Amino acid sequence: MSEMRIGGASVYCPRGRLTAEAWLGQGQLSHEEYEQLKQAGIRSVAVDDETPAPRMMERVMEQLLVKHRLPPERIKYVLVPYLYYSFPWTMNVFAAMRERFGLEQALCFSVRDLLCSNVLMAMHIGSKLLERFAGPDDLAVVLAVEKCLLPDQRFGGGHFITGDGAAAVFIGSGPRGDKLLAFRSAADLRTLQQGKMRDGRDEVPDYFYYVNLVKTIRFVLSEAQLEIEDIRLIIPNNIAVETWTLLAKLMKIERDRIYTEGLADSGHINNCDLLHNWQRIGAEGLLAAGDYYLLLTLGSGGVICCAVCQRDRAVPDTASGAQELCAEGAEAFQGSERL
Amino acid sequence: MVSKEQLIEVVKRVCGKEEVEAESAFETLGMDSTNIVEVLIELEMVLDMDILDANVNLYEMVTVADMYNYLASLTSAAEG
Repeated sequence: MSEMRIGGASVYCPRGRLTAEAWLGQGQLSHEEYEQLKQAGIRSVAVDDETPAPRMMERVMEQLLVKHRLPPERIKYVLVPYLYYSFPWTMNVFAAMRERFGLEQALCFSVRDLLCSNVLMAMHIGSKLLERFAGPDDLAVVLAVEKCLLPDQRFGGGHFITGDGAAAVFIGSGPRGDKLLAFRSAADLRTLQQGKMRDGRDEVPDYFYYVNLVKTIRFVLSEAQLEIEDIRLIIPNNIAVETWTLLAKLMKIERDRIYTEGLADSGHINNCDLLHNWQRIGAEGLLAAGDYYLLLTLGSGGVICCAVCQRDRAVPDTASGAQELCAEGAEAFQGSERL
Repeated sequence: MVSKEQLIEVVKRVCGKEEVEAESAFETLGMDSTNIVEVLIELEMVLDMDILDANVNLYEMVTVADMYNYLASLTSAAEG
C-alpha cells in the first residue's frame, strides 16, 4: 500500500479585521466576555464581509494549483469540508470549480456533520480513496471554506471570535510531503449530553471530551507505534485555549507542545484554522525534517479526529510566510472573477 | 466489572501514593477533578470499561468506594 503524504497547502487569510472592541460595541459581547478575550490575547480576527465563499474557494484552489504546479487532470477527488453553509442554494459550486479549473477527472463532494472535525476527516477520506481507487500520480484536494453570514455565527463567548477564511491542501503518494502515518476519529454520543456541571465548580468543563481526546490520541499513537514523547508538536484547531491546557495536563506534556498561537491571530475559523495552523507551523519553522506531529480537531459535541504525521525531509511549502501567502492569494483573486 | 482491588490499583497509579483504601477520599489523596478524569481514562482504556453515562458526576465521587459503587451501578444497569 502506498504511503500518503500532505503535499502542500494554500490559505486565504483576509486582510480585514474585526476587533473585539467593535464586536463589543455592536452589543455582540458582554463586558466580561470582552475582558476574557483580551486576557487571552484575542484583539481581532480576520474577516471578509465582501468576498463570497465560492470566490474564497476559487482563490485558494488557484493558489494551490499555481504554487505547486499541479496538473488539474491529476486531481481525482475534491473534498469540501465546511460547517457554515455559505453558498447560494441555486449555485452548483462543484460544477463551477470543475469548469473554472479543468477538473474533469475530479469527483467533488462535501464532508459534513462532524462539525470542526470535518477537515481532518476529509483528509483521511481523501487519502483512503487514493489508496484504494486511484493511480500513483493521482491527487486529492481538501478545500475548506468558512464565512459567517450572520453575526451570531461569530460568537464564541469569551473564548474566541469566529473569523472567515479558506484553505486547501493536497494529498498524494508522491515523493514529497509530510507522511500521514495513522488516523483515528471518535464520535461519542455520550459527549452530546450536557448539564454535567451540577454545582458549577468543575475544573474540567466537560470531562467526557477529555476522556475521548486522550483515548483517541493514545490509540492513534499506538497505531503509529509511537509514544507521546516522540511527538514534537500537537497542531489543533483554534478553539478555547483552556481545552488544550487541560489536555496537556492530562497527557502530562508541556503546554507549549500544543500550538495555540493561531487563535489570537486568525481566530476560530471552523474547518479552516487547522490548515492555517499547519501552514503557520511551516512558515515559522517549528518542525524539523523527520519530526512527528499530531493534527487534532475537536468539534462541538465532542467529535474528535486525530492524525499522526511526520515532517518531510524536503519540507513542503515552508518558504513563504502566512502574510506572503495572503498577498499571493489576493493577487490570484484579482485575476479570477469568473465565479 | 472492575474489582475494588483493581480500582484501588488504578487510583494508586494516578495519585502516586501507596496508602489507598476503599474509604480514602480523593481530596485527601491530593487528587483534583483532573486526576479523577485520569482514573476514568484508565478504566476505559486499560480495563476496557464503558464508564461514562448521563448520571456521572465527579463531585458525587468523594471516596474510592463512591467510584466503585458508581461502576457497580453501571454493571447492574447493563445486566438489568
